[in-house]
Amino acid sequence: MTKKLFAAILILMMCFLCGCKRIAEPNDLLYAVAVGVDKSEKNEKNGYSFTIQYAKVFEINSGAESGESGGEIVENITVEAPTLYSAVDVANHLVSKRFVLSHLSIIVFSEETAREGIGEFIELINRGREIRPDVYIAVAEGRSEDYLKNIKPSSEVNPAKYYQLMYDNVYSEYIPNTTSEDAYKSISGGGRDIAAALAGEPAENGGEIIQNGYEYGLVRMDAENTAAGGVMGMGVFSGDKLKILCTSDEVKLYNMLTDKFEYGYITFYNKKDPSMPVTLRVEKNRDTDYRVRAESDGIKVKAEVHLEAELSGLPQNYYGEKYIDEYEEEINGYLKEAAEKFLNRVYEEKCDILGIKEYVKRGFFTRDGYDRYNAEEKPVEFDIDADIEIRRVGFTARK
Amino acid sequence: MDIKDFLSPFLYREREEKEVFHIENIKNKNKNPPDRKCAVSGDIKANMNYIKSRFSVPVNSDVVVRNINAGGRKGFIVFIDGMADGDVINKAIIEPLVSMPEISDDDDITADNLIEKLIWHSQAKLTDNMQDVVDEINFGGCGVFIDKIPLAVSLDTKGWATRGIDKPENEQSIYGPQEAFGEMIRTNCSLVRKILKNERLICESLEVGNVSRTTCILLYIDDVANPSLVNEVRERINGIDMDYVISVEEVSLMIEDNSFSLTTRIMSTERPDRTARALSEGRVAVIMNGSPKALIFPTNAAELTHSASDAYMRVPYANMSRTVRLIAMFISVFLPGLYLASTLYHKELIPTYLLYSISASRENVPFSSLSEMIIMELSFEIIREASIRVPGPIGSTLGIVGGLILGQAAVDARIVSPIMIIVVALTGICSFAVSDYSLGWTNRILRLVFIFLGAVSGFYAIAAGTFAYLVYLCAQSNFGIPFMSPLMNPKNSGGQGTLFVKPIWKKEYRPKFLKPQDERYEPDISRKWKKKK
Amino acid sequence: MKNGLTVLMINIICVKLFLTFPRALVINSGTGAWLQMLICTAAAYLIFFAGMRIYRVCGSRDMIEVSREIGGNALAGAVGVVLFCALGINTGILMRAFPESIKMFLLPDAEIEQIVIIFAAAAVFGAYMGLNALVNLISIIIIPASAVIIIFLVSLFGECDLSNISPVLGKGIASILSGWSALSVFSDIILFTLIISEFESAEEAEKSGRRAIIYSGAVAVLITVVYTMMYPYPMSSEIIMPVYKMVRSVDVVGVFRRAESVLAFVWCIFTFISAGVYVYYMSLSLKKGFSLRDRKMLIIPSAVTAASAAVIDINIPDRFAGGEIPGACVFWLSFILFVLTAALYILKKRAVRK
Repeated sequence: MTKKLFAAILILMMCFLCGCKRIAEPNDLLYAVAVGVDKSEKNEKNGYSFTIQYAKVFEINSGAESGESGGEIVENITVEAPTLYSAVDVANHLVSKRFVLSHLSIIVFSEETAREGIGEFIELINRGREIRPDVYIAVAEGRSEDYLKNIKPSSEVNPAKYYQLMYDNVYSEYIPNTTSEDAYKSISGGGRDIAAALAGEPAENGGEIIQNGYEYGLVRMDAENTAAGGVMGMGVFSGDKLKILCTSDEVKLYNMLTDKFEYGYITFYNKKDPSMPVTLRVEKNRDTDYRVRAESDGIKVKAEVHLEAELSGLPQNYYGEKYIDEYEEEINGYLKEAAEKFLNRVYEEKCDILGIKEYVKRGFFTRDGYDRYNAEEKPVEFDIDADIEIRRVGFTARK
Repeated sequence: MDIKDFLSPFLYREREEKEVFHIENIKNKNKNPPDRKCAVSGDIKANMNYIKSRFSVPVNSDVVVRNINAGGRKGFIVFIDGMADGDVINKAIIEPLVSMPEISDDDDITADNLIEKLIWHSQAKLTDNMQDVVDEINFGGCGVFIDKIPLAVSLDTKGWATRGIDKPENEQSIYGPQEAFGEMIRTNCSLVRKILKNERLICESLEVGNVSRTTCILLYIDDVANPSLVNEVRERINGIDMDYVISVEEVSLMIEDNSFSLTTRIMSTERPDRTARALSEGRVAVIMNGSPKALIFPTNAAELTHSASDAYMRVPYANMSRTVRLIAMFISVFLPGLYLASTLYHKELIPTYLLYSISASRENVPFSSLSEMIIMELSFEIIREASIRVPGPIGSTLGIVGGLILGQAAVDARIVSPIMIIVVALTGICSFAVSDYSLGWTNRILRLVFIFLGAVSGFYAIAAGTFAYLVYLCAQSNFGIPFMSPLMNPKNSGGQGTLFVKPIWKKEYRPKFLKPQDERYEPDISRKWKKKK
Repeated sequence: MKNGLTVLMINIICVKLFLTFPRALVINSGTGAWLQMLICTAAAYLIFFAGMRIYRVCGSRDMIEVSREIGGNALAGAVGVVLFCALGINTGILMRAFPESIKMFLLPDAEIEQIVIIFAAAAVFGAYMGLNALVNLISIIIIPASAVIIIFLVSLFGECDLSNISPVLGKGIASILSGWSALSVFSDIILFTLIISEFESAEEAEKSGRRAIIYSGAVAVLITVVYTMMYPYPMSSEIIMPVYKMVRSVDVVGVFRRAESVLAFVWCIFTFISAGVYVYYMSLSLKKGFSLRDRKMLIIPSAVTAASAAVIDINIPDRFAGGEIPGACVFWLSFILFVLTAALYILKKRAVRK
């Protein structure tokens, strides 16, 4: 009995002597919500300017007001340092509490930084355990610091919730949904290239589709009144470098082609009556069928996008039901041309957003064979077919 | 008035030394122990002297010695007032003896005709040993001595005040019988017998306590229970060497394998139906006079989580009830420790919104999370203990006052954070959902251990503690049966199932780990109405 | 009991699968890692089958008893010491690798020695309680714990991409066939040299061992397949804690995120059981080798030896990983010992008959 008691006391002592170290109470820490990465203005060669946005838990807890005062729920600190963790180290000395990155929602890169390459940041995030792999990646036109400082959530008191709702894009098709793990798979794994959401002002310089929007029947949705903290459009990468910026309509095409499209709206002008816009509510019907042939002179890609639609908006006295088959044909044509133009533009910059390489790999038995084939750049030809079925005409019928 | 009279209260006075009491070392005061083998004498005076010296009459004021004249011969009866039924003594003993015809010296008074003709009481025994009479008197009986007859009659005339058959207080159930054991051993036996109605149900009488000689009944079904198990229980009870055994809980403490084990291995119940079911499975039960509980041997880890109502509810309801209880048990043991571990070490596992809330609510609290948890747990335990001891309506009010007002006041005073109150309150409520009282205590102790482990090294230390406790339980055995046996092999659990209830028509076999003589409990098809003609 | 021992062996082998093993396979064979694992499982099965067939002549006695019959107490003592050292190296590696993993994903701010001490204390406690208790425990928790692991793997199917497992043969058949390093996963079969005495016959022991190899091989192949499908090839060779990384990606309906703690909890308990078994057999091998009276007194010294080897500066795991301690002394020893002992026994019997 004495031995057991002695052993019990020893174990208790051991637990308290060697445990309980370096514990941190939850209120001793600051929880970073977002990080912005810009090029340093002082050290242009190898320095970065990191903006750490953290949550102000008291304001969140007491329910901050919406609108202008919504900005009180977050605070920003900007630090110039060579790497993220060294920036955090410095920032820890600017505030009383210690920063913790385990609840980070988003990392925003400035366009300049993204064009130089984000590989080192993605590596850093995915090697560590602190930052979770489902952190969103975004690119800001201009400085990410400006974007983060303009964040004023109008309908949330919780910044993490704000970012989650903004970037999860279940209800909107104008941004892609890219996490740091997707980026890591692309950069380190040679998988499909990523497209990061474009944060801040929407891109003005899109592709030919928008400039010639009328001719193709797709209408440019002009987002004049978006807040500076809005998100629309995408930046497409090749490896770890940003290559091109795309508009919101191109993002919709991208989502359709990569099977991430849930539902959305397409508005087009019917050729019979060009002044009358017709709105379709479009949903994914089935996954896109891809047939990829790797030939010696190039890669031929044939894809068929399957969608189903409902006529949501018709002008007055418009004979929607009568011409459904014609509408389907026209929309299929629009989508085919738009998608092929978009893909050609993207693949010119060597951004493999559809993961064509992955399909090509399936045709080889060994890695060596695939590497030999892939050693030379091969041109990619696209033949995209759209198969849209207008199944429903809504509640109100037209003759 | 003299100046001395005026000043006398303030003047020094010698104090009288009072004697301080010390307990003297007196051993074996009674150097002449009573002769327990003394035979009944034919001389009435010798018998009277013996009885008076044994019962310290007249010092022992409730022992009544009443002289009678039985058939012209002198005699006396002796009983203890308050324990014996006066009416029975008057009508069944004194009246027939006093009105019996004259016994001449030539009459041969034998054992047969003394009782057959002269004693009107149903339970009368003749004995020639004084000790038997003394034992019977101590237990509420009555002794009768008649001159020139070297025999005494001991009669069972128990008549002390007892509770009636009540509803079970601690094992309430909406379905099923609503009877509970009382303090009378015969009544308790009868409650079990009327359920089983089996002549093979043996109620073997044992005595425990060298001086108290408390009656203990060992219950088992002769053609079902494994004889080696019965022998082991019997040996353990007979091996109790104590002067006084007051309650059946003392018996359980004396015969359990390990007194320092965290988990009890003997189940106690106040329900006769539960006892009867256990006996029908091949277990052994022990009841004791003066205790309203029965002990059931052997039990195991799974059965301690069962409740009396499980056997009477439909399968989905019973399984839902058990699931809720198991979840409650898990929460009551692990929640505080896991909460501490996740807030101190593993913050990334907490949802972001919750973490902001915890962080903000803890800001002005002066104590660390561990201290806060210990303060709250201690307060809760104190309130619980206090409410047991405070009688009637004040007890329940105290719980409400302590829980709500003190908790709310503590939050307003920023001594603790609101989330801690919720954690502790939820843990406390879940601990009340555990059906076995001893298991509740086990959970409370384990909870404290896991709180410390969570504070030491987070989930890792909690995993180590869980492993240590589980392996400890797996190493324990109970009357030779591994304590975790049905969990190891659920198919052989029989009866009430392990963690989940089986349909009543699926209980074809008795628990195999009990090694009953008859393994079969039901035929394969118990619902003959289901068979098509 | 025999089912419990089979499950125990599966547990001991599978515990290592949660460390770095899929990465080692991928480095060797690329996307053909799962094929390599399949082939190694088949090879381990055949080697064990052949070894046990030869060992049948010794019945269900363990190696120490057989060596006592061959060469008396001296040989028994020597074999006991060899087994003690071999088990000690395995235990030391486990006592370092596991706490390192725990430090990486559960307790990054804790000191490694703190984690090793708690691990050693749990192993000592498990060994103290005895083999029966450990077998009983594993019999109880195997089903719920396996369900947790299967649920995790199934919830990862949404993250899997068939393209990632192409090309099917990875770096080529030559690389697959040359990758015998996966056999080290089964090196815990060395415990069979001592566990065999718990069985009633050699046939039962053989059946149990074969089942253990098949089931743990199946789990290993499943984990490798899922891992290879989740992460494209060059990236999959860089991840140090493959299973933990996989589990971190679990996100079912936006509800079951951050659930890796549950898996960590289950894995910790499995590892404690393995460590308890190792320390138990370390003490038992000395006890049987030197015909000592008490086994329990040897538990703490065995655990302290293994823990010290894991923690002090010249630590065993680093030496082992660096190749300074040849892998043969544990990994090949596991497979050859049976055959060696049986061969010596047969020779001895023949010599006696003559």
